[in-house]
Amino acid sequence: MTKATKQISARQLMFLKLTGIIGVLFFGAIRLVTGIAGAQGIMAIAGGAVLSMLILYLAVSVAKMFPDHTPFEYAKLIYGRWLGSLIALSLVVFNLLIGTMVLRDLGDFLISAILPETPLSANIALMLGLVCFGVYLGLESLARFNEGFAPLILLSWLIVIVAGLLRADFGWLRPLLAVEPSQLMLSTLVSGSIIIDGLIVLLFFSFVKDQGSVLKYNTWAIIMATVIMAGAQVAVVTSLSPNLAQTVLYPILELARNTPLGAFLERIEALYLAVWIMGTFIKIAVLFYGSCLGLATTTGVKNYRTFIIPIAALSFYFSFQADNIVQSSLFEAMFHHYAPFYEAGLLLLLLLGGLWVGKTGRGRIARGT
Amino acid sequence: MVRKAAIMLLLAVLLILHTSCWSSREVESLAFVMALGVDADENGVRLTVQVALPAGGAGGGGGQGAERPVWVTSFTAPSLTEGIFNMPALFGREPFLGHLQVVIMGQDFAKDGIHQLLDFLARERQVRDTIRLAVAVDKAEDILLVEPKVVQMPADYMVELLKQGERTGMIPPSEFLRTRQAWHNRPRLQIILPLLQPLEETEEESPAVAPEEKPPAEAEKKPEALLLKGSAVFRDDRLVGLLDTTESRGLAWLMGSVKNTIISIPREEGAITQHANFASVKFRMRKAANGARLTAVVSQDGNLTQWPLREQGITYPLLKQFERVLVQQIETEIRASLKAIQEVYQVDVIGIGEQLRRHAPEQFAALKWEEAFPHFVLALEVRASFRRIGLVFR
Repeated sequence: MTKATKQISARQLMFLKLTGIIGVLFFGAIRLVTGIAGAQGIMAIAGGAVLSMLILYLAVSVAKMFPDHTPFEYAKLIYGRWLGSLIALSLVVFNLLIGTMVLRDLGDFLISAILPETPLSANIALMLGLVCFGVYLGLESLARFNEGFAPLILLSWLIVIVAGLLRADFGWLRPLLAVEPSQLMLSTLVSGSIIIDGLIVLLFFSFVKDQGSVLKYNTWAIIMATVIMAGAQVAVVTSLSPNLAQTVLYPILELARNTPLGAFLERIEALYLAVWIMGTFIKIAVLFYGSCLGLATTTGVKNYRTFIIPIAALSFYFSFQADNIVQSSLFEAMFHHYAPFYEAGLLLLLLLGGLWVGKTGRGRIARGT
Repeated sequence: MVRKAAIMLLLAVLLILHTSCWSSREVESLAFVMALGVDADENGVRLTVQVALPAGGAGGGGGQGAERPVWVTSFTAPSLTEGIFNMPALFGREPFLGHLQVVIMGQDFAKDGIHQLLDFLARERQVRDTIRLAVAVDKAEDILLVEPKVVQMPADYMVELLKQGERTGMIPPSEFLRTRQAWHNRPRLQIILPLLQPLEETEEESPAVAPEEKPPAEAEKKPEALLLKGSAVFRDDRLVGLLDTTESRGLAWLMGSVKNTIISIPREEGAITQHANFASVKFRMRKAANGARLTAVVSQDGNLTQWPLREQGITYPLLKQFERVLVQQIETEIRASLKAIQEVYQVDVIGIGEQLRRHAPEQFAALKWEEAFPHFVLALEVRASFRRIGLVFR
């Protein structure tokens, strides 16, 4: 079994996670959360952060048991060849699903807001081309590229949020706690799903050099992403009103277009969008890298690059399964309702399996100790 | 590795820079619509568009004799969207709404309902929430024909006029975003828009615009200025009534939009005037005989700009006395406006219902706001002060 080489630092993994979350917030995330929890979306986001920290803790706990192996590898070690491969494949499909969803989101966003006459297929194919190249270069290149880019994404968000809050009417947040518990729970799940950002930490833990710092750094990633997401939600709700925020397709775009800075520097949102679209690229590339790696490990193929084109082709095909933006939004909402259950379930399955294997001595074999 | 990251960056930048063949537009093929007028017509709607002419607009600055920078034309269409999308057949160019600044509605069109217009503007990706909306006393077309002397571009003039008017309180806020908020939060917040009228020879001189010279005969058809005439009040999407500038200012105190206005205290010796340059409103629940009551706390202050009492110096007690008179005047203004919107038009254009929802949600939930609003008693607490007196003590 091929051992993962230590390629990236815990800090780079933190930035990958951070970009994975805030790089796609400008699509439908804020509308989705506000649509369920209204003005109290910030509470749901805080709840989502707690949920994602629990998932992170679980992921790190599982990964620490097999520090030199990817989850695709130790799923087989724990559950044997067939069941383990099935679990590994589920993770491949999960990554592919998220990547495809983000890809379709990007295509929908581009044709709705920027390039109305450009075919959806052209937008998606262009991004896929870049993603394929990024995946081909490998995780280290992606991580290094992102390390330089993530602060820029962070800065652009801070500018948009602060500028949005300058014209905020905080009265729209009142009355406080005016949300049904069931709605709050549902929106917490959705927020959690967005902040968890797939299972990036679980996937790439074995590639990290300083594994002892992964939990600390990625907790910071969650905190930063939560602050950005909560700030964006508050800025949207207080500047548009909760009712209006639920009706607009891309509330963040509305916010970026209407901020006072926008009045001073006209059409500055193009700059924000360019930065955010790069974040989207990083996210898709990392997820596809995970999928390719998973397929290679499961099938025993030595080079993950063999699967780049098949994964891209599959994603291209799946990204056209929704007839229109209404259906793709529906798919996305459904995905976020159920994704945390899969993530938590998978981690518990691996954790319990890992503990059992450890007790019976197979864990030591797996770790090579 | 750095080389690989650099290649990726290069490719990423190329992705951003790709302008797309399909969605590309040559500037020569676009007609930049600066202002749009919509009037009711028996065959649908009558659209008036103010299109920027590159040659006239490029010179900048204003002044007499400059070439008119816009072309104004009107045409009829079965519906608003059909009119917009059929424009290329009229102009020979594709309409570009990215620079649209003002949309004016004719009064008859507004009475029929503006929902379709709002929906079009909100849905159209080129249009921004920062554009301004207003209603014409008569036809929108008349407003768009304005040929201002102060600035070259009529749309710029209209935007500035609406901004300045909003600060005086003579007209309500005109930003499209405010209208969208009202539309999505009705009936506890209804649409209110500024009312405009072209300045004509027969028109009485307005405090906002008072030209010294009469316009030449040729310009009679094309007004040189616009008058702020108050507010157009809507129930849902239909215009139901008009308020004059005084009534509008009464509402503006409650909306907190007054930033620059003059208040006069009439005296035998002449009027004592205050230039109010700060005003705010806060809504609070205050204890009353029968439970808590929603109270609007209006605060304002400003500078003393005219003191006609020659024999009397400015003293602290005297200023306090006049501040009390100011309070009474503002309160009277607000009460008169509230009476108009509560008793006459019965539409909550200020958002009193929204404030009640924020501060007393249970009380609000127990009411059917459309029915409750005409009888709702809003308590008032007005604070006024002379902050500065200019450079003279007497």
